[in-house]
Parts: sequence; structure tokens; C-alpha cells
Amino acid sequence: MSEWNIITYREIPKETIMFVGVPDVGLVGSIAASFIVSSLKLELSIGLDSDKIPPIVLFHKGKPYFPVRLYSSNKFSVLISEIALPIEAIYSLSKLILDIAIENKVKRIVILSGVPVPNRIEIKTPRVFAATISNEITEFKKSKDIELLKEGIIGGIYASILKESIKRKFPSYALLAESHLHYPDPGAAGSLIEKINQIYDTNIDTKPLFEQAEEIRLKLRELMKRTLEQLRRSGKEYEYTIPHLYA
Amino acid sequence: MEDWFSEYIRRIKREIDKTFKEIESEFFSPLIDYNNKCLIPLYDVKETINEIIIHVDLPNVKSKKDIEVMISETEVIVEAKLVRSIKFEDLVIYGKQAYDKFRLEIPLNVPVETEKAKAIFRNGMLEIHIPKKIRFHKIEIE
Repeated sequence: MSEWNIITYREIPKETIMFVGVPDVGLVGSIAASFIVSSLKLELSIGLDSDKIPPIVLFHKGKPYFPVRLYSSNKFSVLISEIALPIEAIYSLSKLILDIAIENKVKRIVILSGVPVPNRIEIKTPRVFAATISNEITEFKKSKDIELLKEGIIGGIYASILKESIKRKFPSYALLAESHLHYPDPGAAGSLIEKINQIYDTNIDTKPLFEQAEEIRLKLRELMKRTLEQLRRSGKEYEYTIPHLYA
Repeated sequence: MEDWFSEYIRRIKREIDKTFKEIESEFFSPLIDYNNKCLIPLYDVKETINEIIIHVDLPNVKSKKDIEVMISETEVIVEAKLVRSIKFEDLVIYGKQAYDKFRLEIPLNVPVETEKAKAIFRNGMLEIHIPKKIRFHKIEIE
């Protein structure tokens, strides 16, 4: 029996590209995913609930929301979370994401996140890397600036989604922008969206995101703090490890 | 039981209670100082052999002229004025008041040379370097 309940508001259209952006390093994926939802005016499709996440209900403009939700349009779907996901929820949520993707004939799962770099403060335009589970995933090459992640370790929920994708032979990949680790990084999220524009012709205007960057940094301090507490227990520390294969 | 031992146990209990209260207060508080209308910024502290490096994220602070850094032998205090005050409309936990500055207090756990500390502010990030009093010197291996 699944550990998650699905609350359906609207049917998920078939054959979408599914972006996943949940709290992680620099909140890059969360910021990018939320910006895609608002820019493309996606509609709420489902809410997800589980006894593996804290009992939280979010209120926005007087309406209640589940903290983990999926929005969609005919072309795209976006999974977001308002809370840092505890390690106890990561495996079962990854499996559920793959179940939803397969059931709704999702074409690709595109994970959005950051890769923390020590000199982020000196970087004006963060580079974006692609980490793919198969050589057959090539659409990210439409953007000449994206580099393939050749060495390194990915930890946390994104690793769990990629592993589940490998097991089920599902085409997933991650887009990772150079980012801060400890601080919300809307600049890195902007870099991701610019690459998404090139790959999927989304034509999202990133100007408002860059204009609101300082306010986003200010308002997401608490979420960043809670996220770091969760990341310490989710395998993220291995991202700073040189893999044995590399030695 | 010996008096000194009872006192020792009481002291440990007081320390444990104090630590739990501090953890609880930090865990359940938003990053604000409501009474002083201050926001508490995010920061991180790194320690190298010879210095302590502190980064403080200060969004909506425009210039180094708006920032004050004070360092004692036990603490660093950072205050920074926001370019405009901010209200968190409809967020009950922040109250109805406007916040117009950041304030941060960071305790130091090693003796430092306060006069030799340096700070730089760029891209909304404050970086403070504080040399430690206890310095390491390289020795020659015979």
C-alpha cells in the first residue's frame, strides 16, 4: 500500500515534460519550479500527502494547500514542495513520482537543482550542467552552454529519483546550476530557466525573476534554514566527496 | 552525598536546561527580532588554521555605508540598513510592523585579533575575515 495519498483537483494531461523542483541547495529548484508555474500559468492538478512529512497545511490568499503539489498544462507539469523533505519521505516520494510519470505517459522528468560551488559570489552567470541516466537523452544539447556532468556525486531526493528512473528505464535527467549552498540563489534559478527556454521553447521572461532576486533571498531565509537541517541527513554531504571511481 | 558533587550535578543540569531552551528558542522562532524590528540574516562560519571567515547574506542592502560590523573578543555583531523597510503583509507571525534592518550576533569560540579583522561587501554578501590570536607556524622537518 502506498504511503502517499493523492488528492486530485484536475486531471494531469498526458505526455507532458515534468519538472521537479523541491527544496535543496540554494533552493534553486524550488525557485525555478515556482517561477515556471507562475509564468506559464499552470493549474493545480494534485496535492500529495503522507505520514512521512510534517503535518502542515499551507494557506495562500485564504485557500488551503498541501505542501507537495503538482501543477500542469497541456505541455508541462511541475512538482513543487513548500517544505524541505525529510529523509523518511524521500524514497517513497521518488517511487510515487515515477508512478505518476508512467501512468500519465510523461515524456521526460527534468530535475531542477543547484550544484554548490565555493566561489559562487564571483560568478555572474552560473554555468548549467546536465546529469543524464542515458545517452539517449540528448535534448539538453539544444543549448550549447550546457555541459555534461562527467564526474561527481548527486545526493538527496534527486539521486533517489534518478535511481528509480534507472530501475524503471524511465528517461530522466537533472539540470544543475552553479549555486550557493547556504543561501537562496535566484540567480542560479534564472540560469536554469534560460536553459529551459532554449531546450523546450518555453519563452519564459526571466527579467521579473532577476528584478525580484533580493526580495526572494530575503523572504526565503527560513525555508533555506530548514532545508539545510534536512540536507544534513539526506546524503548531500557526499556531493563534496571525490568518487572512488575517479581516483 | 558530598556537597561538591551535588553542586556539580546541579550545574550540569542548569547547563543542559539552558542549552535545550536555546535550541527550542532557535527552532521555533522565525528569523526576526520582533522587539527591535530587525530581520536576522542567514550566515555561515568557516574556520581555517589562522582565521575565522564569516559570510552574511544581506539582500536589499545596497552599500557598505549601510553596514556596521563590530567585533569583540567573544562576539561579532553585524547591523545593516535595508534599502527600504519591508512588511510581511498577512503573515501573522511577523506582526504588522515594518522591518528596516538586519541584525546578527555571532559568538566566537576562540580568541581573535579584533583590530586586524577585515570585511568586504559585494553582490549583497558580507565577508568578514578575523585572524585568530593563536597562530600556527610552519616548522622545518629535520
